[in-house]
Amino acid sequence: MNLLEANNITKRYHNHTALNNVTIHVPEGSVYGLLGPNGAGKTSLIRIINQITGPDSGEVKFKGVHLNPSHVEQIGYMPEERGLYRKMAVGEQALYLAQLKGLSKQEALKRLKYWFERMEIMPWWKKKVEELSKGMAQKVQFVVTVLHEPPLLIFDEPFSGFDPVNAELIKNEILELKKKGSTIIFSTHRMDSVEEMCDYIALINKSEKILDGPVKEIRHQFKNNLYEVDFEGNWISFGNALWAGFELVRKVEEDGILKAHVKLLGNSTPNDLLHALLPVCKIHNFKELIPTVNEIFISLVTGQAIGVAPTNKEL
Amino acid sequence: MGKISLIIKREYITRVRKPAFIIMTILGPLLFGLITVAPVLLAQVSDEEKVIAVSDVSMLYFSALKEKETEKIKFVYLPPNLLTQTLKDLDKSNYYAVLDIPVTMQGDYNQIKKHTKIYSIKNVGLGVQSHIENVLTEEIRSRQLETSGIDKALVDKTLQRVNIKPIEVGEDGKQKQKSAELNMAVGLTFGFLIYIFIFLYGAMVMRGVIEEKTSRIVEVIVSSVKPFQLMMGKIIGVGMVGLTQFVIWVVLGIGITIGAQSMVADKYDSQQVAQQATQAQGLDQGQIDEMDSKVESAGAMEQILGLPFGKLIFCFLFYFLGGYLLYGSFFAAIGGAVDSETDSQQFMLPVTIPIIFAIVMMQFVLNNPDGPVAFWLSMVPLTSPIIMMVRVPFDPPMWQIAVSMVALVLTFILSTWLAGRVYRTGILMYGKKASWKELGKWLFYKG
Repeated sequence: MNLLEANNITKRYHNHTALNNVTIHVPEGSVYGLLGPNGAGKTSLIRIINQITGPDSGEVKFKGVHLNPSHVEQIGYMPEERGLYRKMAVGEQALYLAQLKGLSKQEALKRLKYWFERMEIMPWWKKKVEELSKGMAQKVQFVVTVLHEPPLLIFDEPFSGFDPVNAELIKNEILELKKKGSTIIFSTHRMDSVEEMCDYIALINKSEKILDGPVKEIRHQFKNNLYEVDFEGNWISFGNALWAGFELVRKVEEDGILKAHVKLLGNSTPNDLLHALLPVCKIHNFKELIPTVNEIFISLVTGQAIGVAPTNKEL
Repeated sequence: MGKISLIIKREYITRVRKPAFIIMTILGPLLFGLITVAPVLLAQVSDEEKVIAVSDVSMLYFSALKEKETEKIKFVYLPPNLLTQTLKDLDKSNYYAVLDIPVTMQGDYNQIKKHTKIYSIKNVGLGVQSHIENVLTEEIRSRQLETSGIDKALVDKTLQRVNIKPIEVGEDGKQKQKSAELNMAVGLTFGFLIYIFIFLYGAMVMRGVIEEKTSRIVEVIVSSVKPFQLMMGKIIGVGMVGLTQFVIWVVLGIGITIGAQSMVADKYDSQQVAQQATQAQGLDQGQIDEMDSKVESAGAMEQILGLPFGKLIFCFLFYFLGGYLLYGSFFAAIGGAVDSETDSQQFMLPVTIPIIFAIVMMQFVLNNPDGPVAFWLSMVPLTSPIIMMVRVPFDPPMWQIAVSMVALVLTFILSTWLAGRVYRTGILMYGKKASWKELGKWLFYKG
């Protein structure tokens, strides 16, 4: 079942279109990655889901119901542009933000105590935010986002501005929340975190959704019969062994081991390739190259074919 | 409503707890008390005894001066032959000044009127000079009367002044003594208070909005509440801070003024205090005379108590809140549109012009509180909070107050609505310098 459906969302500002007929369906309990370059429209979509702005056309459904103000308390949002009142004490501020999300004071205090201890920031309860280190403030920010335990959590560029240690911490906390049943949408333009975290992704480029679906399916959908062969031998005999059914796409040499990327053409199978190569070289490794989300993303955004971008160790 | 009250509470409490607020709240009435009492105290402290040497061949004027010596102004006789030498060594002598009264023919007072000189190292204080002038003038006058054989007491009796008591007759035929000066003072005070509060707290709203924007907390908050709720919460919260401060000021101010004056009254009777205070505040002698005679004839307390206090306070609160809400919403919109206080200048100017204009026109309105200028300026909502407040002590017709109030309410509803639209777009725009044109476009973005 989909926890959230945004259907045919269009949002225009007077001289540009931020979103053009974008539809995304976020299944309950999933981690949903909203990918796209800066300025693609991700934040606009997220703001619409948070009811900070409204769409010009299209509708958003939450748990099958048309989005309304009462849903604010069921969503936790950590914006990309985030911060806290600098002059206000940490605990007091967290309590205020929690109450704004509809928690009673007692309940908010109880949960804050739990989270502050978990994040090891309890000693800073009475300090002003401006006295905190950046990492500490980010932890506070994360806590107030998740404190009211909403079914849907939205993180806009959650790792930007976090140091690596805190980024890892936040990543694990997000996965932990998923285990507890929360649905998570997060937007990023950094792809490295996507594959290990996301179940579903949508690619947004220039205000339009250009691709969406489960990460695994998308990767398989974009695989193009490319295989990597690590071998001992030489390039001449390797090249000679390949017949018309194969194409040598890339040659790399790394610590005495030769790596070749070979594309299967026509009806050739991996077995055919192995059969052709076995007599001429000693094979160390043989695997199918499934494109990463990053490669798919770049290829879609730039229009280049997957796997042809040169690497720095190219011969 | 629950959330907006949370916001109001935060805005209120964080400000009221600030050391700056506490200091201002305590210092405000202290300063106010000081202004009323300081001139008296200063007059006491700064006046050391001044010894003036008088060179007067006839001795007549010296004895007149000697007779009218005060606590602070003393006269000693200076033999005329020592005059030149004394003037030479004036800086080494203990004399504050040297008065040189010319030699005259019997009955010729023109010499004295024109050629009396006073020499001093520093400037002679106006008080001293006028004291001497008064004594000499009086002396000459009585001498002239004497030589002409006119009875001085009779002449004094003829020097009279007529004071007219303004009495207002109410619709029920009830008579009420009125004082234009008192009404003026009350109108000016209330007008200025509103002006100060609008600026002080309007700017506070703006700074609060800018702070939320620069600290980047605003998006976190508007994911929980509507931008309009945040804006109204802030405006109302800050307004309550203003009211709190005002109430504390009034209570403390009254207390301190009464306390200070009774302290001073040990040495001076209260009338003298009031007189000296007004003198120090730069009113001219004529006005003081007038006020003095009023005090004697009518009883100032009676007049003050005769003011329509209920109406004044109600109108003040209404125009304070109305004016503040109107301008507060402008200030909130400006805060939303800019990234820093420095950027706010270009938008501030048009907002401040009507307020400044109202202040400038205050004097004009006081001269003719029921004239057309006063009427229109007290109807137009941008100036009415100040101008109508100036008029209220003069008892303008009820319907005018009513129309002005309704206009103000309608305008601030419209202005908060417009401000809300600029605000909700502005607060989410970072690092972009807005122009007037752009603000206009923001009005039409779909929420």
